[in-house]
Amino acid sequence: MSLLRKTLLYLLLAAIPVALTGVWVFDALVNRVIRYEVDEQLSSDLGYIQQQLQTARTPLNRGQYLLNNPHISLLPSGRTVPPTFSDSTEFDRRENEPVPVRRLTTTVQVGKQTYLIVVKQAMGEFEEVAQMLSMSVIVAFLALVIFLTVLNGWVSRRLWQPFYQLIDQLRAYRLDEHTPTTFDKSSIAEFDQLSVALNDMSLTLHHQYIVQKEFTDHAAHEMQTPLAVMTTQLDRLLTTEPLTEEQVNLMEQAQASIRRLTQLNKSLLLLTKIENNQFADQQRVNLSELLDRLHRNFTAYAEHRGLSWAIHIDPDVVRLMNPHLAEVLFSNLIINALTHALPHTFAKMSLTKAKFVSLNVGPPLPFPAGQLFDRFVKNPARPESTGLGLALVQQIAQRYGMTVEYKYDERGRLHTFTVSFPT
Amino acid sequence: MKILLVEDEPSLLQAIRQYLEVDGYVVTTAATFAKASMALNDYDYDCVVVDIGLPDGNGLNLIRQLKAAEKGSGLIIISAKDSLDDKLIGLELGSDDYITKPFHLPELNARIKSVLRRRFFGGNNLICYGEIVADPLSHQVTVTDQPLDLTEKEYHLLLFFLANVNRLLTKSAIAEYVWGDHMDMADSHDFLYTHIKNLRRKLIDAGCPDYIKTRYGAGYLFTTP
Repeated sequence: MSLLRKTLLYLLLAAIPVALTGVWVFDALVNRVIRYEVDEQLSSDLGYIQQQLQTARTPLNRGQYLLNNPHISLLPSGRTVPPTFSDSTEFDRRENEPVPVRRLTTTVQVGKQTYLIVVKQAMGEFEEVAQMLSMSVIVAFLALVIFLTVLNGWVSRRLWQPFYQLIDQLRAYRLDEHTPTTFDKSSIAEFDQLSVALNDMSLTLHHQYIVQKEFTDHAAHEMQTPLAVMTTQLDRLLTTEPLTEEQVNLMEQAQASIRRLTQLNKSLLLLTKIENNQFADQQRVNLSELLDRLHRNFTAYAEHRGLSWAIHIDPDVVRLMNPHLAEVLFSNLIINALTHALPHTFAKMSLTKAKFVSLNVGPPLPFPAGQLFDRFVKNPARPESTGLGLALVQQIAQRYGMTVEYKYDERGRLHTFTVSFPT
Repeated sequence: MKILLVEDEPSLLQAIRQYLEVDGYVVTTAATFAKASMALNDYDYDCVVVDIGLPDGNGLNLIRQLKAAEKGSGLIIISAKDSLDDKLIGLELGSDDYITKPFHLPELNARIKSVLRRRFFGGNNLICYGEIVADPLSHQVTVTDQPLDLTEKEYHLLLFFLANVNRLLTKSAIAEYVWGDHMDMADSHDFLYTHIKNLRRKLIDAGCPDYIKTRYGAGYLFTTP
């Protein structure tokens, strides 16, 4: 639910109880005031009648009895009634319906006579006025709520505009751009603060990215140069005569170690570069052609290991990737299958628009399957492996939204790797 | 053949120079951008080998200078950065080859030979050794005028040997040249052995002397017995 709707919802939730109690209180208040005023009026009428009775000392003229209001009658006994207000209904002939009436009953002593006086006031009209008032208050309140809702929506939309703009900019944010992204300023202090904070963050990130990129480049340079010196010096040493078999063997072992170190260095740098997003450029890579080429490259190796290697490639499987990473991904999977397959068994691979599947026969993993894609996890029987091949596979696949699944079938001793492409 | 070698690491410079001089090249060395730029101005070279990571200037600018002079020299870039950007820029600027540190001297040697062949003979120059004739354009090999049927890998192996005749080549150096980056495999040396064994048998069957010798169990030597 958007912030706007949420605000409106809370506003309405707060407004409804306020409106209901407000109307009820208002109605009660109006009724009370009316009753008070009517009672006052009745009391003053009574006072007037009492005064007239005392000064005239005669019964009032009959005309006033027609209305039966005030109703004055002689009370034979000396019983007195204190002034009492009461509510009742009386049939109104004009409106042809019973109407509520307020009456004041009391006895007045004039000389020796005791009069019972009843003063009445029809309340119907007043109640109608009170209802009208309540209704108009409700209508006004509803109108106010609607108006506030609309106003709130409009104002919110205007106020949050810079926020949505920042979100759009964040969505389009790319770390590997040449200049750091600058976020727009805003006239609203809070969003301006946000924009300033984002700009700071963007600058820091960009700076770190550049430092990291330079570091990987320099690390490569700084490490590869001594390795190059070692390699070439050993090459030179090999050209000297006379050499003994032991010396050559030692040099060959040293060269093999340098090769491993070089490979390790390259793989680690590649991992770092992928993590650091340094392979942002994407092209349409024809995976069918790539796999065909890799198949040709590794056929001799498969033959050497006595593997029957079948590969099925659907034509024109194209994905948007960095070509170098695509090659690393698939060659690592192929090398993995071909080197770990038991000699004289088979390896099967297939590429379709939806996935790449690689199958090979081999002994179960010497470590939990969950660690398979971790760095430096390798078969203790193969110490010469860098243990980074499948970590790279995982890293590259993740980068392009692909998933890599590994399954082992106990009975057939089948290792299956499935790379599913996103649709 | 005159070669200009630009490299800031002294021991590397020395090693490459000595290795190439054995093959009869005249090697001039430059350890800085300034010296290299001067040398390029003053003399002509058949092949220039440049490390693009120089301390006092980008080696790519040397390449621009060399290309602007249009002297037709061959050009090989050495780089410590295995970054595609540099490789692409280098090749776009007209370098003939690109080699990443660390590399084996026999490999650099083979690449220099290949560049010189392409530069000066349009690749048409046949590589001859005794009765073996290899055509780098068609990848065809003949032994005493009889075609020899080699696989692609065997052909590359033979070329590598022919570029480094009489030099002891370790298995590591050969494996790296023939398989490049993909040789992170467990039994690469056994695999190499199979290939060399096949190549050796094919050459002997075609009537060659036994050129390929195992030396000390760790390397191979291509030499006339």
